[in-house]
Amino acid sequence: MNINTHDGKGRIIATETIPDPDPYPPTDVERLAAVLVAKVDALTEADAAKALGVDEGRITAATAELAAEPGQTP
Amino acid sequence: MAIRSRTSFVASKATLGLSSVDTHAILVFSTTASYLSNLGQTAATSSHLMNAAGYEAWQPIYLTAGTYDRLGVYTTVAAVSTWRLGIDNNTTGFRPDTNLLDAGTVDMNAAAGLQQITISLTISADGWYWFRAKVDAYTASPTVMCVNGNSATPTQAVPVLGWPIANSGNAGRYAVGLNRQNASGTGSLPTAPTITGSPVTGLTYTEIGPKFYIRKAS
Repeated sequence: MNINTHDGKGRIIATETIPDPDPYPPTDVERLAAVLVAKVDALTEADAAKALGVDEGRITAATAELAAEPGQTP
Repeated sequence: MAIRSRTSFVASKATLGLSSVDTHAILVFSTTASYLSNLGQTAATSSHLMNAAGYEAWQPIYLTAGTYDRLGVYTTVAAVSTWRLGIDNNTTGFRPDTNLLDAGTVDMNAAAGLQQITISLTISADGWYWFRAKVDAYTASPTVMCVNGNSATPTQAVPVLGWPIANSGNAGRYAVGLNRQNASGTGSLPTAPTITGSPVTGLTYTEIGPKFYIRKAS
């Protein structure tokens, strides 16, 4: 939305644009999902290996298996 | 910054110059930095009767004591026209009287949106006032956010008890404001004429009128 502030004598002295309110704001479930996705994306394989107490190579292999489509070879 | 208003409806005997009937006072409990506006079903339209130089529109508004720093109208489609904005005092018979504020003009051909003027207005006591707009220059009608009683649905407008139905041909319509369609001069906001029922000789009730937006500073 534009907001034009006039000086009352025919000149515009300030202009600003503010975003229109979202008519479909995210639900709490959508917002939680976004937080969880961001947390997972930020997790490195090194972090996961350390947390599980295993070699990082096993995490790499497990990640590839998770990412593979059914029927594909990781 | 958001345009928002808080409203509360209470039944009270308001001194509006009417005969002794109970009236519903529309109170706007304003907060600092909030925009207030006249109430009613809204419609963005270019058929707001502000289609010649000198033509005017008035809308009632209840203002609480304090200072106000912005006054404006909202366009959705720009057009070559200049509107002079102001506020009039209220008088007996619930009609506009002397001019309280002449805020100057807004260019209605600016990029569509809120067209506002910086003002410095102090309201000393809660009460009824009148938003006012006059066409200072006209080539074409901008599309403006309006209050609209022009509907067969009775709830489309907030009725002012004691005002007549604007169009006797449709009992579902309500008057939402006053207007004047007289090339009565431009460049200033003189004392409003009386309500005569003719938009040429004086003021008449109208079922459509611009929405105004006023911001409370403190």
